[in-house]
Amino acid sequence: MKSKLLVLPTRLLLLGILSAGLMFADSRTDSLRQVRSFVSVISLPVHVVASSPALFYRWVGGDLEDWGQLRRKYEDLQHQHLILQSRLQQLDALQFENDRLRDIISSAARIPNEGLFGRIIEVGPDLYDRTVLVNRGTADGVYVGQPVLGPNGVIGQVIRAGLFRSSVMLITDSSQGIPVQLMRNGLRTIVYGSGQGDLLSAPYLGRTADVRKDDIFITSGLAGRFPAGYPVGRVTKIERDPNAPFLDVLAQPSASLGSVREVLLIWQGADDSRVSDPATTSESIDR
Amino acid sequence: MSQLIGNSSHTKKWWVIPGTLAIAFCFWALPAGPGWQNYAPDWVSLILIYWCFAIPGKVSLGSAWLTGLLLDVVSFGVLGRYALSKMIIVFLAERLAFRVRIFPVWQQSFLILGLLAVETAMLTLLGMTLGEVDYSYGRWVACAGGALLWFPVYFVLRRVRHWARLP
Repeated sequence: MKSKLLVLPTRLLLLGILSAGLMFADSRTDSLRQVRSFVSVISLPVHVVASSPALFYRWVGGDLEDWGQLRRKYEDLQHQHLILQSRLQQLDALQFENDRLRDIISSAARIPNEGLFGRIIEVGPDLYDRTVLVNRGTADGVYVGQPVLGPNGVIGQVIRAGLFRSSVMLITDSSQGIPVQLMRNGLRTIVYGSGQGDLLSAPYLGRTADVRKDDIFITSGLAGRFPAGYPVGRVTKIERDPNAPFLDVLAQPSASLGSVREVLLIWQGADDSRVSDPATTSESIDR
Repeated sequence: MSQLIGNSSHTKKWWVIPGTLAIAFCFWALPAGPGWQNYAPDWVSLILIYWCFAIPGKVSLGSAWLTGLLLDVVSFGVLGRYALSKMIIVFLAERLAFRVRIFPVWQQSFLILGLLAVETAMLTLLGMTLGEVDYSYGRWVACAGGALLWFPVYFVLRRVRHWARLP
């Protein structure tokens, strides 16, 4: 028994060093990525079992509605569908006009983005609360860094892609920044997760920047990661500290990150990273 | 005839240990509902600690490390994080195992609180080193929750252990 207790610390040390090595390799280098994505297939049965209570609950409680409610829901959906269809028709006309205008200023035409539907899997305690799991993986062509959109705006980007599941980091994570512009005046800046609750912060707006409450940030498409034009957030608070060089701007994300379930993973059309701005056609940004 | 011989090894169901761990994984992965994410206790830790206390020497450091690694894979996190933390708490639990047996359950739960707090502190430190900046207080609430859950876990697993005729 005594000798066993002596052996423990050496094994502890060895395994400890191995763990440290793994953590370093996984977080700083890409060497483990292939291994991870194959090994993560093991987690599939666990996810299936773990999400079954939620599915069951929703099946029994939430989704059993009576006929009256269903019919009302259906009518609401029909109305929404009609409105959306009419706006889509306008969108087609606008896109055509946009392409013609781009032609005139010799900018390349936009190629539409391709999207893949995915569903957020409700699994587990999420240590940092800023990542979600999606039921698409490298088997569907998902890649690390791929942008993910929800019905109302940008949700985040893929940070780890397993074979059938991927982990998406939400825009509210403070280590992620998205290049955006204000919809009203085109002012470009970068938005980060603020680390406070579910808010975003835009830390690089100068004291004299033209930004107001309720302004909307949309993706600017710079840096090529996120396609341009998708809503990111709405300004909720601006603090002007006379001693600070930058404003303290907080924004509420456009996508309802807490309740989103269906998402879209986007492959960008080739020329989407160019921001069409007549004053600066000379500085077209190459990916 | 085998009943008369007593604890002959082919009536012992050793598979309940990995079996209960597998169930712990599923409990761990259960979504706690919107807004409650961070308060969920770490079931895998609780069950590992129970088996360390109940059958000292059975849960080896290596298997604790592997269990943690598996949890890393399932949670889609950085590999090696849970491996290290599970191994440390199993190491500590094994040291405490003999002394704990004479404690009543409610005193044991304080020890559980301590062990879970050590694990949470370690994971937080690792998180800061790995650059994950967001810090939420829910994890500490989860520690307290885990300590409270020790009561049902202890009694349920004790029944399971008796059923499996493990020492």
